[in-house]
Amino acid sequence: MKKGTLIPEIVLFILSIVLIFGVKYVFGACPMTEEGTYMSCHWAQEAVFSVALIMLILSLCSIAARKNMYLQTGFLGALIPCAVIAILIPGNFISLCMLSDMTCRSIMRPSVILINVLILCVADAAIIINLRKSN
Amino acid sequence: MWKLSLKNIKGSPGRSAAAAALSLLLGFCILAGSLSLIGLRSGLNSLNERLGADVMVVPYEVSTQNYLEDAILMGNAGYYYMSSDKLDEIKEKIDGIERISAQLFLATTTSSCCSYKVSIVGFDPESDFTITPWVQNSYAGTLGDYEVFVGHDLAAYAGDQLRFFDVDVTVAARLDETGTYLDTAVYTNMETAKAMVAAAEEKNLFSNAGYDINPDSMISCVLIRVSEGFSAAEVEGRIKQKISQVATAKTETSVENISGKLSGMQNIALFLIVFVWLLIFVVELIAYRLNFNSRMKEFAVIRVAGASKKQLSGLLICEAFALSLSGSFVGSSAALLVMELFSGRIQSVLDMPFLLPQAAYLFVSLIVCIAVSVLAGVLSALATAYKAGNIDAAIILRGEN
Repeated sequence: MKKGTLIPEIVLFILSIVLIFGVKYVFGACPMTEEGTYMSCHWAQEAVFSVALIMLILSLCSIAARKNMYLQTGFLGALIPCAVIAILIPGNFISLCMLSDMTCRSIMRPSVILINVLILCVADAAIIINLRKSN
Repeated sequence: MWKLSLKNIKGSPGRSAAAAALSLLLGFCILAGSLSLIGLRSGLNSLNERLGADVMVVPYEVSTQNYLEDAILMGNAGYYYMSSDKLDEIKEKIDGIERISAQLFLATTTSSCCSYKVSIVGFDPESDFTITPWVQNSYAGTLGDYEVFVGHDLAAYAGDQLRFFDVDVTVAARLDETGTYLDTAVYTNMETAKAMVAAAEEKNLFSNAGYDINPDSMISCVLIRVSEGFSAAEVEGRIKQKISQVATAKTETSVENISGKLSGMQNIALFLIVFVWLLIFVVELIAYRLNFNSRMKEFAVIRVAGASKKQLSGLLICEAFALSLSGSFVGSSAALLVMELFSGRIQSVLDMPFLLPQAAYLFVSLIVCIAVSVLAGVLSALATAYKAGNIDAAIILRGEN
């Protein structure tokens, strides 16, 4: 059985970790209001966090499946719709605050988009490398 | 030759990645730096166009609180009012006024986290000459009572219902982006603005004002366009002499101050961009030279196989071109993505007008940046390519290099 790649999967693992911790502690949405309620952007943050957990598991599976290139490619392929959904969640599936200056719009959304674009690029590159190996 | 170059690149992925990374860095730095400068300049030009007025008259308290320039240029969302009699007094006593119009400002309150201050600007559609020309691009009708225009940075669209101080309004249009504080404001007619001020007063928003709030006889500022044959300085001087308890500012002076600061930043940024280009060029020059030393036998074999000097030099140039092109394309694209995504954040951090240009201009900037980065890569490989073409293959293969 042909072996898959390793470095792209490690990069994907690191990017998933960055997304998980980043969206919670670094580039998250607005915190709780004085009244003790959350704005809708908070739920966008939680949804991205959940999808990032799934991406972390998939990247770990792709590292574990290195000995089986086809299985690894499957896990990498599953990462792609996850990254696309993570990009679409803030502002599209779940609305954010109105003003573009607010944290959710100016920091959380661009950061989530940037990291998931990187994940898409690395996953695509790994899939292409595996497909070429199989040919 | 291209096929062989690409095979050489694939054959040594580590070395190729390192070379491409330098071009990536160069492409990123040049485009990000250039777009920052272009964005600042465009934002300032946009603000200059939008201001429309030559002289702005505000209550005297604004100048004592040292945010007169902020009030004009950065839209410091606050409360300051004067009697609407000042408008009539200026019309009566001051010559050289071509157009004059009053505005009424209000700002929504902040909470500890997310309720951001939104400026509400009440204007008189009949006499206004600053907002109306801007609005015509997005809305052809007349703004009715309890209808508003929203700035581009507010995620509200025509037909949406909004509420300010328990006053329900309908969004008539979302305005074009300006890259300035104008994008975060809401614009409405005087009647609606007065209703909002009255509602705000019921909520005790003006408890620290120090004067009575009467929405029907209050304005926040008077905007003046000066007639031909008069200068803004002249009109401003007369207002200072004849009208009491007001402060004035020439918008031209305020914009010029920012423009001056911007020129200084621009020169420094240009210097840094050129410095980075030279630095990466020198690093690439050294990298190709070191690369050449480790590949001398490879070049000797290629020469012995029948390649001419020109073909061997051409091979190296093709490799350099391919690596520079791929690296700078990725770097420049990354810079474009980052600048687009974070332009709002950049504007709030710099606290200056910031407006990225249109898509066509961005595309041209991308191409130019890639070309400049590729030029650095190819030029740095030229010396090595020339040296490679002049090697003595026999000596090298015998090991007497």
